Amino acid sequence: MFKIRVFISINVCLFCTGMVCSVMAGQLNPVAFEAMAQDDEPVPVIVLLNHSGDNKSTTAEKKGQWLNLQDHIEQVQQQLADDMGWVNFNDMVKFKHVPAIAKTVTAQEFKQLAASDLVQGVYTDRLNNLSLNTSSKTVGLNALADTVRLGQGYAVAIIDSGVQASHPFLASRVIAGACFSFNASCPGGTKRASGIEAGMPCSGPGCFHGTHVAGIVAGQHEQLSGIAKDASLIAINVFSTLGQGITSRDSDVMQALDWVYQHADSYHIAAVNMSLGGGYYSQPCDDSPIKRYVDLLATRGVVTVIAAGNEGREDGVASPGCISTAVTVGSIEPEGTISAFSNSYAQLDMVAPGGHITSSVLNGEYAASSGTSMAAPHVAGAIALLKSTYPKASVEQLMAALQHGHAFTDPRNNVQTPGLYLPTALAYLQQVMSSVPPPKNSPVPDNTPQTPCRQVIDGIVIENTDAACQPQEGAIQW
Amino acid sequence: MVISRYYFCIVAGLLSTGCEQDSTHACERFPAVCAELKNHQPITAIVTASFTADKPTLKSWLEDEDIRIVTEFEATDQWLVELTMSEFIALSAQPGIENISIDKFYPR
Repeated sequence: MFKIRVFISINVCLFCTGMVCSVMAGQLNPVAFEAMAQDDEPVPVIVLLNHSGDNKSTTAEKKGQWLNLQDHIEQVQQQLADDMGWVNFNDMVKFKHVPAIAKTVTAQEFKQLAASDLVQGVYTDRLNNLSLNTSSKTVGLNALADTVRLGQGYAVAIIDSGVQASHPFLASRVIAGACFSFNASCPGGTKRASGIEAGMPCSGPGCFHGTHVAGIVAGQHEQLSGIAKDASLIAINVFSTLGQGITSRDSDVMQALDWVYQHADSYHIAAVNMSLGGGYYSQPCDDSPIKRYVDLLATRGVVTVIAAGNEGREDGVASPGCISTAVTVGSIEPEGTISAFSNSYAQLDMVAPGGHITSSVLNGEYAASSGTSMAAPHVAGAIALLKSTYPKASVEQLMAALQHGHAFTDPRNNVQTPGLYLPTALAYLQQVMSSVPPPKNSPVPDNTPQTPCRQVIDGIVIENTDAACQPQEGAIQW
Repeated sequence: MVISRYYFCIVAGLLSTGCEQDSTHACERFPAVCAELKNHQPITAIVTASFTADKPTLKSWLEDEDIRIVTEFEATDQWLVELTMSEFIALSAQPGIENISIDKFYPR
């Protein structure tokens, strides 16, 4: 059985500091612990610590003093370890950015933890299935006809924290990349760079995020795969290192979208995924400067997919997910309920699996993460799949097709939102396109990896003068 | 002497009121930018021209006013610029300005 123990089930994503802990559902009481500790065997748990950190962290965050917050977390962890007599245990994991420790504990230790003032709760460190498998079933990927193409010939641009192109899950999928940074965090200390190397992950906490998102779109492994495993990926890093954290600006995102606009035809880009954002908007935010690019990309046949945000709002979403012409995506859990962390409002376009999704992370590893950040790439991958199967489908038709899944009702606000379901989306397109999907051996766009347009090797700038690298109309100027 | 003092006060008062009115208009139209500029300046902001705007004239105006254009988005008629409060007030009064937005951060 291909299973991965996921220690970090507390979600980390580009949205948030106030994340919902996906682990919360598994809080242990003495009876539950005894049931798990058969034959007095130690049980793997995650100990969530009390800390006066909420207010402190907010203040520290505002001042950019992340180091102090991390010091504080380390102090609390150490205090508990001292109290428990835990010294250099190999099976103990201290989380750097959240006040928690993962460890296997005996029944006696569980009692001590339950009685400790330092402990907020003890939770099951669950064994998780590779949830991309589960979510693939949820969206009907396993129920598709053989004639359906899985993204072949089309690309999805991942505007995020960069993608580790060398990850085995993504082998040869990343065909181009770029980086945009307001404070010159791109490779070589530049504000912008292009090429696969430029699209590599940023350095800092949370920089695994883009690689995780990319795996959901087009990862491929013998035992699991992304939604459009034959699609190509374009990795664009818009996150800059700032203090101890990473951040992005609207203008970085706009430059990334401009790059996509200029290369949409040459790389056959079907969708852009943006699992990022912030703020809270109870109405569509069509005055956002990013909207013009969303609309412009639609004229080139590119659908922009944006995560709704993870603040658990029932009457609003984050920006830029609030742009009405983008596809804004909320999250559902493996059991089919709306995720508690998922932002929602009446204008939310759709929901897709975002709870406990296992995908690629840095250093060739895999891990589970939860968030609307994970839901959005299911939809972006779906668009590549639909587009490769029906190349003539327009943006409007693709977006309409996505709306034909079973509706999920959010109990917090009674809003009904369609869920991603590929068979019904394909059936809709088959009907409106009035043609059967083309046979598998028909010509598809040539999407073989290309030489980067501009790269710097040992300080020497190499410009590629191919036609694909020439700026098209509306070139950006810096 | 008294007359000239009054004269100075009246002129200063008129100037101040005019400036206040300009600022009020700009701040009513683009409150988020105004609030940010009251915190610190200069700031970087995204200027969006309306679809019917005379873009070359608007760009020339920015250059003539020595407003630093950090990035130009030709495809969407937008500019990332560096603004002080007085530049913001003057810019907001220009014809063809659809929006001035803060270059928002998305922190992690």
